[in-house]
Amino acid sequence: MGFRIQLAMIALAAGHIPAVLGQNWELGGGAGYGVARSNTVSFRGATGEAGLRRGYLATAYGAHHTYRHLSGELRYIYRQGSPEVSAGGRQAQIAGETHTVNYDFLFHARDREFGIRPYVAFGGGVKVFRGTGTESAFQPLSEFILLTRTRETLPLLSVGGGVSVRLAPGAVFRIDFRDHVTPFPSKVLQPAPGAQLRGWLHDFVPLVSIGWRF
Amino acid sequence: MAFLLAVAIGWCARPGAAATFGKVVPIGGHIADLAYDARRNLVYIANFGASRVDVLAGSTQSLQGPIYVPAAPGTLALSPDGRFLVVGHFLEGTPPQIAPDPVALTVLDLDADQRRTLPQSLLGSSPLAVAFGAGSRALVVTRTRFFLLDPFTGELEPLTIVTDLQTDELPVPFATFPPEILRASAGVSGDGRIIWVAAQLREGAPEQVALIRYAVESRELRLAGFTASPPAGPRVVSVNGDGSQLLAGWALINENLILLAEFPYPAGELHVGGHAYDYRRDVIYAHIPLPAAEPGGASREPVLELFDTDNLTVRERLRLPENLAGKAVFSSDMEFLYAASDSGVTILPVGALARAPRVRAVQEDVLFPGNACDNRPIVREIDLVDLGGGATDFRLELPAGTRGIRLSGSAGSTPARVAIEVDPSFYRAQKGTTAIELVIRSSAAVNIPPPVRLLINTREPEQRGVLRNVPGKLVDVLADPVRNRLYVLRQDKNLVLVFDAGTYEQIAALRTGNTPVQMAMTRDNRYLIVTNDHSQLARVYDLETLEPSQPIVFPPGHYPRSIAVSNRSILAVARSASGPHRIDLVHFDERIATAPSQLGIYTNEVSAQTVLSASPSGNVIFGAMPDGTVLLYETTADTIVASRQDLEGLAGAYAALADGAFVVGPNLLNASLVPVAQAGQLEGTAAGYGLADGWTVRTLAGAPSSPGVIERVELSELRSVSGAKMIEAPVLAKFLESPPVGQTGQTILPFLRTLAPLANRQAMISLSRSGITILPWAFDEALAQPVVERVVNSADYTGGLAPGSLILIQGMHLSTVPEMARERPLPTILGEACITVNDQLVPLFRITESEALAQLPYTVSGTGRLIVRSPGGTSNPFVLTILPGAPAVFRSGAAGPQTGLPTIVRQKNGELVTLSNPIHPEEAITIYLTGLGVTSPLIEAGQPAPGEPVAQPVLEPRLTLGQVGLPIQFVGLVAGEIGVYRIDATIPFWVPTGMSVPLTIAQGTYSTTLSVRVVR
Repeated sequence: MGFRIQLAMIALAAGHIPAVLGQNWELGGGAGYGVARSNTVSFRGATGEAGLRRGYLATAYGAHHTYRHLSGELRYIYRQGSPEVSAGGRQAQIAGETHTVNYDFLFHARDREFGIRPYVAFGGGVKVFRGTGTESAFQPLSEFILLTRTRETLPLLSVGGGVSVRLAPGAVFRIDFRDHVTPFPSKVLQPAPGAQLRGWLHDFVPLVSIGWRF
Repeated sequence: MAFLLAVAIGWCARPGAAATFGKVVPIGGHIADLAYDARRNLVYIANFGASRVDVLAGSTQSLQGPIYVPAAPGTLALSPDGRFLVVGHFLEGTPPQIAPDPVALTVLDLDADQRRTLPQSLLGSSPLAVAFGAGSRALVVTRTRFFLLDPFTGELEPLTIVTDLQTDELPVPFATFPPEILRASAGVSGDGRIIWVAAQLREGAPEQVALIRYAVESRELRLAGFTASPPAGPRVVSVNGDGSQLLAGWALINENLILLAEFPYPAGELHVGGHAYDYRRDVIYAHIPLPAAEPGGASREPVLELFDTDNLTVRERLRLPENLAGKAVFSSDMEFLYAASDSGVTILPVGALARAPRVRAVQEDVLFPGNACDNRPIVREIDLVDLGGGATDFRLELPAGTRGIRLSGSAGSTPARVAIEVDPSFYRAQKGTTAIELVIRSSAAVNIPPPVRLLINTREPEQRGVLRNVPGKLVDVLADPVRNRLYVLRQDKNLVLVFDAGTYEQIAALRTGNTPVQMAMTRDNRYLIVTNDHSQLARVYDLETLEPSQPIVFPPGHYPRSIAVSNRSILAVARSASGPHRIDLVHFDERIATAPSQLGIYTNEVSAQTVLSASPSGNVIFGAMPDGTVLLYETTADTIVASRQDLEGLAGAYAALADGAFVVGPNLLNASLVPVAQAGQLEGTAAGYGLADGWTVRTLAGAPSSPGVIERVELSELRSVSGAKMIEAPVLAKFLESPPVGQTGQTILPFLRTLAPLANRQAMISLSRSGITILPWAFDEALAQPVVERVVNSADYTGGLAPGSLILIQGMHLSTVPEMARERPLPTILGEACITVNDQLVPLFRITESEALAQLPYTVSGTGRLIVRSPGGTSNPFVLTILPGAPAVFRSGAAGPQTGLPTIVRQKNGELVTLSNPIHPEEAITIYLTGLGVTSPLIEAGQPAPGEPVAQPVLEPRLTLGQVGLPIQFVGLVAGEIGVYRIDATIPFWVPTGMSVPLTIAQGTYSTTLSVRVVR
């Protein structure tokens, strides 16, 4: 299922790109900090929290401005994101990271001739979760979550907004905020037998970027 | 080059004779003193009779031309800068008409090749000792005065102390040697700051010794007089690095003149023997001949012994080419020791001693445990090694007429392992333990290898107890009432051995003084006090930390032996070097002891072999002497309140069982020490008394190799109520006594404490021939027949069994004493029980009353009948089904708090496979298991598996993970382990993943399956 959704998103983005060839383009990069909302995991009446550790991220994007109030962008985000579990004052984690590729539509409140342009964004893509650390025979809180060195790819829904500020002809500064919503990565953060975990994973991603239009 | 030379000259083996350590350079005369010249690598030798100073070149180990001096050189010393050699001449007794004012000192300026002489009139009498410390002036000791000599100007500065030292006078009869004439010797600390001199203090009394300490920097001179019996020979002073400790004659003394230790068997001869304090290697080299009257003392074989510097424990014994005879000096690098000896100088390459050929067995004892189930020969191995690391010849010798023992080789070259096979049928009649000495000889080794004691036990099923071999001379045993510990005194190595009273494993060894005799605990159970027969100190240990605490200092010349602690006073019997032996009062808080002349109404004079025992309440202390005298101390009166002599010739076991009940030998004494009962005809001598659950328990010994007896005794009549035969005899004093082995101490009192009921009520411990015997607490209880209820493999605890499987036998009354195997191969009797399957013996890892861990023989298959035999009888057969292969993965893994995990290991990180450490494709795993059946080559059950060739199962196992076959890289027994197999396998990429993937190990028709997590 995850694989099919991923293909659908890429097809959506690819279908849009030909229509805007020859228009205004923007390429940029930036950095940010990801804060994921932990999900509750329960085991025999006890509860804990599982999710991704907060972490810095780096991003690159390419955007096209086809219409005065509509543009689209393809974005890649690398984020430090160690899977972690905590309960009762204890915590366990395994080193990890995520890789996100998504396409967002941006609806601008003002014409592109304006220097400052707020916008809202939504889109979709895929997010790859990777546990990269070392497993061990005993992991604290393994009654809730088994932190696993493995890789998991999940579909992503992206919503948010931002504002772009023209610094100079051809140069823009952007502040963005996204909520990347995925199903919970239950292979990297494998619920232990008998443990229950529900919900989606929300990863809140504030970004600052510099872009060049041409 | 220096090393090669050292090896070449250091030791030599002559055909037909044992090798010796050191090389003799004859000088033609008698040596009075030596000095080493570091700058020129020369040794100056005061050749007393020849009136010259011989010169030995260190580089060539040969004599150079001598330095002629005007009179007999009795002493000499070299200035620290190597420029001045000061020679003291001894002319006492020379008539004035022959030499009106003879030369007393010659100062040789070795750099300027000049000499200066000083007449005797300047000194008043002949110099007895000359020594340089770190300063520029020499200390000169004469009979009456001490001087400082400036060798540059020849000026003499008298020091304040005046004394009257004694010497012989010339001429002397033939065969009189310089140390007997001068009777003085000096030694300098390694840092040159302290000079110690020992000299005779009184005329005609060689036992009267003056010890003089001179501090070079402060010029402080102290003198103390001692009485040494026998005389303090050899007349040599050896000092440690900072002058805080010295050996004078046979005594090791500290700077406060406390006798730390003494050689136990000094002959007291002034001119035979010698010693040197190697402060760099922390060892003392000494040749101390045994008195001729001692057994073996007449042989006069010269032996160099290496001693520990704190308590003179003998480390090693080396053969010397000839007797040492006085002083010894080290080369500046301390690689060589130049020692005066009978013919001249013996050069001892002590720096190369670690590489010298020295043969010994790794094992001190080899125990052949008795097994009522098994009459087959027992094989044990000993390892012969050369401590120098080389290949050195050895020869093993059993006493003439020894039967039933076969050695796999009686001669060879180190390193070697020799199998000793004992046929127990030859010793069956003993029903106890026979000790046979296996002597080790070597023509190339310079040491005297200690013999190996072969302990052959034979027993009947009803004989009670479990043997725990503890080598050495064990003279006292004490159970800690609050710590679940046991203390055993090993006299020959000067140790308190501390055992866990639950597992009987040794957990510590505490160093005592020389020749420890007895132990006692303070009433608060905090400290252990150990008396020593060759030290002025009783050692004290903090039992909370097992660390030494401040020792107790006894009066000079007092050597503490028996000790007892009451609620009020601590009494110790002290052997006195002079005068009557006494009971000393120990003031524990001050850590001193005093010797009152009177105890109550009694004169404080006792036998040195008196023993003391405090009652359990601590209210009284009972004492007994071999001549039948007994005495009683009461805390209320705080003195001796009664003493009688109604009995004769007391010996053996003794105890204060209550405030008004004392036993000694077969006698019971009441509160007034009146004999009120005597045991009737006993099956031996009373060896130990103890209290258990309000009962008195007694052990008896007949002959050393016969079984002992333990019995419950009705105290009022000392009548045996019930009893059992012991597996071996408890020790008696006469069993322990042996001819002295060099200067290893031996003080065996006629009374011994050999029985210790443990505080945990698990067992009673008896000192016995092999070490300790662990006797069941309820030794006389009617024993129930063993019952086997269940037999499973000890890996996954299922009924899958195969030849060689490790098995767990569960039931009741399997064993009377819990015991764990300590040796490999595994024993076939443990905890007084043995187990057979189809009449084949089962090797045992451990056994308790309800459980036994064992290994099935490799030679059983099909239907097996398992039978347990114990002192309680023989179990009914338990029927087993033994398959050709029944793999079972151990559940002994642990990770954090998780236990019982299968022993499957990810090779990538070396950790157990768990849910948090899953298997990944394209990795490798290792599985530890049992039950893979017969191997090729075939291994005998109970034997550790060999490393090469690998013992592989004859029936190949198959592995699948989620129905995918796993390639096996290795399968076989784990080298060094017993009954443990290992399978190494790789995980293909295409194995299914999941939280619970079945991992199946199949062999023949049997398979076992575990669930593992697999993650891609």
